[in-house]
Parts: sequence; C-alpha cells; structure tokens
Amino acid sequence: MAIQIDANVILQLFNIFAPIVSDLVAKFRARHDGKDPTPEELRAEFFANIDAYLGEGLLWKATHPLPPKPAA
Amino acid sequence: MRHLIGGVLLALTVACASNAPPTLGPADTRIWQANEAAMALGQVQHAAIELNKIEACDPVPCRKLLSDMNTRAVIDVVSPALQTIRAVPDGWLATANAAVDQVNLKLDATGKAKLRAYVEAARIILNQLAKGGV
Repeated sequence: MAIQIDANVILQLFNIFAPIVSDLVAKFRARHDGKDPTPEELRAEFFANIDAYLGEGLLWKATHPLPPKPAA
Repeated sequence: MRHLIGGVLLALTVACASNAPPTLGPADTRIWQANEAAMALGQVQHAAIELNKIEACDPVPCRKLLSDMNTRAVIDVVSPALQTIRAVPDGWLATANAAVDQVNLKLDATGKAKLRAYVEAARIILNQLAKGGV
C-alpha cells in the first residue's frame, strides 16, 4: 500500500532512507567488539548483503506484477 | 531542495566510507571492494523501492515519487548485476559501472531527476574504490 505524504516531509524521508553506503568493516567491528573480520566472515557478509538486495528486488516485483498487455 | 538532498547524500557517502582493513590479503581486499560496490548498487535499488512507496499529493493528483516503471527498470538492471558480482567478484568494477550506466539509460527524465543523487553517490563510491580508496 502506498503512503500518502505531504511534500514538506519528503526531505525527512530522504534522510531516513538516505543511501549511506556504510562500511562493511565498520559495521562488523561494531557487532564484534571492534575486531577485523576474518576472510571467511567477510565473504559471508558479502554473500548475505547481495542476497538481501536480491530478495528486496524479487519481493517488489512479486508485489508489483506487470499489467496485462491489451489484446491486439 | 534537490541540491540540498544531493549534498547531504554525497557528504554522508564520503564521510561513511573507509579503507579496507590492512589485515586482508589481495583476494580478500577484492571481496571487500566487491561488497562495497554491491552495496552501492543495492542502495540505488533500495532508494528506488522506498521512493516508489511514497505518494506525493502536493499538488494533487497524488502520484508516486518514483513510478512503477522506473522502479522496475532499476531492479531489472541492479539484480542481474548483483548476481554477476556474486558469481565473479573480481569483475566488480566493470559490472557495477555498466549497471550504473544502464540505470541512467533506462530511467525516464522524471526518474533520472528523482534518483540522480543516489546514482551519483554510487558513481563516487565506485570511482573511489577503483582508485584503491574508500
């Protein structure tokens, strides 16, 4: 369902959803007491991040099917 | 307001970036770079999906900030690129740059305007990664 919103609030929403390309390692350190990730952990994060974005795209497409083409 | 948003995004993008951990070997540094590139692309897609959820009603009639058509175009470019990076992490730079180019080509004028700051942020990240920074 779409959200109806006043245009004046858009800037706040942009800030909430701003694409802060945050650093994987910084996030990892925050979750692991400041330690660097091992190569195995780094790879796991890499695959998990990609899978999360792929899932987000698939979900959107599943909930927004293409409208049927008009009959010729 | 668009310039303000763009400025905020670019400042945050640069401020939040950092160098790869010095403990990583060359192969793992490439994974780290591939991950950063994937996240840059993924955030463009995420922004598109979130903008698609919002309807602006000033002025009426209400319309989505980013149309379904533009949102689908972004996903149709980003998802295959992410799958390619997942399969061939060493090719992250060419894959991600091509994806950003394709996003720009497939969006209509309105979509380009709405997503410009996000696409530019992704481009900056990729350029910095290519230079060995970020």
